[in-house]
Amino acid sequence: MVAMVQVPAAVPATPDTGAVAPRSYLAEVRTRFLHNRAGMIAVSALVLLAVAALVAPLLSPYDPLIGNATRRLLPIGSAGHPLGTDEQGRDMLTRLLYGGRLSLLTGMLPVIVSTVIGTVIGATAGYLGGPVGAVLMRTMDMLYAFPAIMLAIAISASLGPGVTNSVLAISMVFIAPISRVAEAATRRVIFLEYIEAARLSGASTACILRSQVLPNIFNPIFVYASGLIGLSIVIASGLSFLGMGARPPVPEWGFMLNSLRGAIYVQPWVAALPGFLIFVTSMSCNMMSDALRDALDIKDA
Amino acid sequence: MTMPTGHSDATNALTPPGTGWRSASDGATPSPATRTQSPVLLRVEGLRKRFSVRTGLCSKAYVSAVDNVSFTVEAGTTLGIVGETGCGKSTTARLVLGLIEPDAGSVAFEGVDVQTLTGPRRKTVRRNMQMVFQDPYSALNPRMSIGESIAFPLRVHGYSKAEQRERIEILLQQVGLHSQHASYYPHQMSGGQRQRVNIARALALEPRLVIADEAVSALDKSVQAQVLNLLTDLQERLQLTYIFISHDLNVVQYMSDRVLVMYLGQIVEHCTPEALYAAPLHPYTKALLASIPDVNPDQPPAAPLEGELPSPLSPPSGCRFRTRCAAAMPVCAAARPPMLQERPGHFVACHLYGPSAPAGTDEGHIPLTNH
Amino acid sequence: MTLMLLRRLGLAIPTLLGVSVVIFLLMSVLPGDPLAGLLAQDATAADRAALTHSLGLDAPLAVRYVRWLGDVLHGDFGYSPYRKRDVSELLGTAFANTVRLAVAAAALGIGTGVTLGVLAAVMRGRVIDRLVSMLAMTGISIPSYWIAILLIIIFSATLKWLPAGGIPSANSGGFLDYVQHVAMPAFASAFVSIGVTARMTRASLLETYSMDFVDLLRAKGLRSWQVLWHVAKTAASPVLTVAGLQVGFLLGGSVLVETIFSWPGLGQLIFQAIAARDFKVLQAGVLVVAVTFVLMNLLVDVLQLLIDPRLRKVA
Repeated sequence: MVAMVQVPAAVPATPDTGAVAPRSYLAEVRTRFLHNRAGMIAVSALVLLAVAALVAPLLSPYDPLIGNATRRLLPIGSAGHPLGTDEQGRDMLTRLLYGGRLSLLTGMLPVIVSTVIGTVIGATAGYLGGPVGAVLMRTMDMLYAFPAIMLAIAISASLGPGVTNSVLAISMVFIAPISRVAEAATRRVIFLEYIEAARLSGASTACILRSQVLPNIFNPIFVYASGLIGLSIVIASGLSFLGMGARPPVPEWGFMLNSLRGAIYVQPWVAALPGFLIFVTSMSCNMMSDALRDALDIKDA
Repeated sequence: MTMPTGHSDATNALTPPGTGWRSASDGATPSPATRTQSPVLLRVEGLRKRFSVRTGLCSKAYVSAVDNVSFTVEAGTTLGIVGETGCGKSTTARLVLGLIEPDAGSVAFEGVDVQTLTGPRRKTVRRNMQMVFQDPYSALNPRMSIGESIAFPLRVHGYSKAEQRERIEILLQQVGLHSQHASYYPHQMSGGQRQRVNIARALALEPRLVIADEAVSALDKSVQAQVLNLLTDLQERLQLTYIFISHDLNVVQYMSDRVLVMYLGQIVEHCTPEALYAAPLHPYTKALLASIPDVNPDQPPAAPLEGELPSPLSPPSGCRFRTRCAAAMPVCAAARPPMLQERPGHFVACHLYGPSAPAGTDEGHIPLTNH
Repeated sequence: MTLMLLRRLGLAIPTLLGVSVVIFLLMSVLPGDPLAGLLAQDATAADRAALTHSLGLDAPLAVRYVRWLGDVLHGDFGYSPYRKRDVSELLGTAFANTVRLAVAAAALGIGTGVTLGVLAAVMRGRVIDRLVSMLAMTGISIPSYWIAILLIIIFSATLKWLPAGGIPSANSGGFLDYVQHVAMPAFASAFVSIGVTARMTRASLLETYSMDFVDLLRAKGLRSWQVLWHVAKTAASPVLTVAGLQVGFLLGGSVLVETIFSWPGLGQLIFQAIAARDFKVLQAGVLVVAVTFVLMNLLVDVLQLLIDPRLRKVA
């Protein structure tokens, strides 16, 4: 007959009681992130910047919009103006603090908006596949075929100047790359057996996308999106630099950098200050994104 | 087909479960009286599926994955499907379950053609058929605790939170896990435990038919035995009907009441496991058996399998096995062999039997030389 | 493989068409009067209507698109009322200038980036690696317009070594003049590329080094630099993609740097066109940038297919 192992009568394996309380996935991620020094420095810097921008009125007595014409372009370290004054005699520290609000906002909002829209488009295209998916992704390809800054400038030019419009413009620019990331991640996931199991349970497409697919594509999208924040701030400030974003007299780092251009022969370091802040913010966002990526990269095996 | 016995100790340890009073060496089929006791749970007729493959800029070719597959499964029994990778076993399973739409053919569950159903009625009937998947890891969502994974089908069908919790307790116990395990994540469990979770999830909706697609193939041998025993135990307790798919002949023989042998999308032989081992008819089956190291010197050696699996894009004409068959005849290229009952309860699709059988061939004795 | 090449080339065409549609739509919603600057101060309503009709601006959108596309394909980009020149002429000069800058920036950026990346990968874990990683991180975070201003502050305002802007004079300049003028803008543009390329090179090399075949090469007795040569061939693929993208970005993202350095390239042309509401120039300029970007990506994809056998599907 057949070579067969003589098995004992059917008694299932005894479970291991006294097991260690399992650490959920999120808890593991959080622990890893907290231990990443670079990431924590970056997060602290960002928090500091955000808080400072929020409580700007408490930190400085000066009015960011009105300046003293007799005290123009004072150097860094002047009495009463630790960071100097700008070309209209306004205190730099105050302007920078208030400017942080707009700059941070125009950095984060587009990323949030485009992530939501891009994920929906990408996940739907990836799951449904076929002609629907192809049409969606080809449309995204057309937007993807532009260099980011050029597209932002073109859309911004079409919409007109203003902060809202530049936020809209940058959102549109980011939707395409995010939808690509979402689509690729979705396609990796949909052929796995637990998706088939979910379909066998009788769940609808929407339900499967929401409860099974989304949590599994969240990671790569989240990491990619967090990396976009820094870029978003740079582009938003760049648009303001070109006069297409924030309008005077509202302080915004990019705009300030441009209006101080004439002063680089007189007070070069004051003129460079707004750009320094853009750089610091962008760098912190990128470092945080790297740290996030490392923390989420747990091999679940 | 017989009903499963209530107690496993009534059987010889070497006898497959579910065969009750039949001994291992008896290749006889159950009496007609016994057979009509078990109602047919699933009837599959003429299932066909082909997939299109792009072969050039404008040209497409078709892979015939499942070709005219028909079988029935009686309630409470286990149908084994065995064959090499790529023979269409998994596709057949998915066609039966509705995960893939067939090009032709019907699937009737308890007499009702499932394809004609729509909407909520379809959902209700479909919950009666579930699957245990092969890869214990990728069959579970890594972001969900196993309690959540098991509860998912219950959620979809509207069970309340309390009902879900209760059901999860019961299921975990049934598969031999502890209720504490509900908060574990898949990466925190072993392969065998994960497969138990898969079984629990398959049973969540109280299905009548469970298809096990290579359910133990990814497990270590020792764990395999445990899971197989669990499956047979559950079959008795919960009155389940199984379709057991595997490429491993031993496992299929152990689990099944009847066996289908598939090759390149077609059924080539259909009989009981005992008949399969004692007196295989189709040359492919013989070759498969020959590839198992066997201690029994009395078993006549069959011709070994030659050549490679032909490309599914252009399967051989007539009998698909003829390119690797030591006993191939001219008629094999001309016409596809029909499925005939060569012996009581033993069906085979081969030109060596039935009307086109070469003269002077003994039943079951295949000449060892090529023609 | 020819099949795949053809398919890839074929894909480019709808992309290019789509790009032209996007640009046309964007420009058609641009606020402002397309007729401004073309009419005299005392133009009447009838004059306006006549001019509108003769310019074909009263036709439906789709018709205008097809006409515009047809013209563009024949090389006719229209006439700029502000510059009093044919747009194609303007484009030609501007594009040439941008290319000069982009080539310098690309050479600098990609060359430095790859070198640093290789260095970091080979000296993995040591101080050099950390430094390069820091530098790369800085590169991708720093706004190009700020670097430009810093460079001007340091090299023009303070040290007075380099001119603060303008292109090298066409005839009398010579190589030194060219370097003096192009150094800062090229570096400002290239800094980002250095960061991106260095990171990608390092990551790709490290990943390839960890593959099994490298152990085999070492076991066979190959020296470090021989192993590096083999590794480099495999690791080159993603680096090539990134490098190609960088060139694309350099060609298209130059608006900011060109404006700061008064470099009369495509970016500056587009920016001035926005301010002046010079639609024809704007449309044409953005189109040229986008098309160049698409073609650049196409080139990179084709090169990938040629050098990386893994990408070729078996029939």
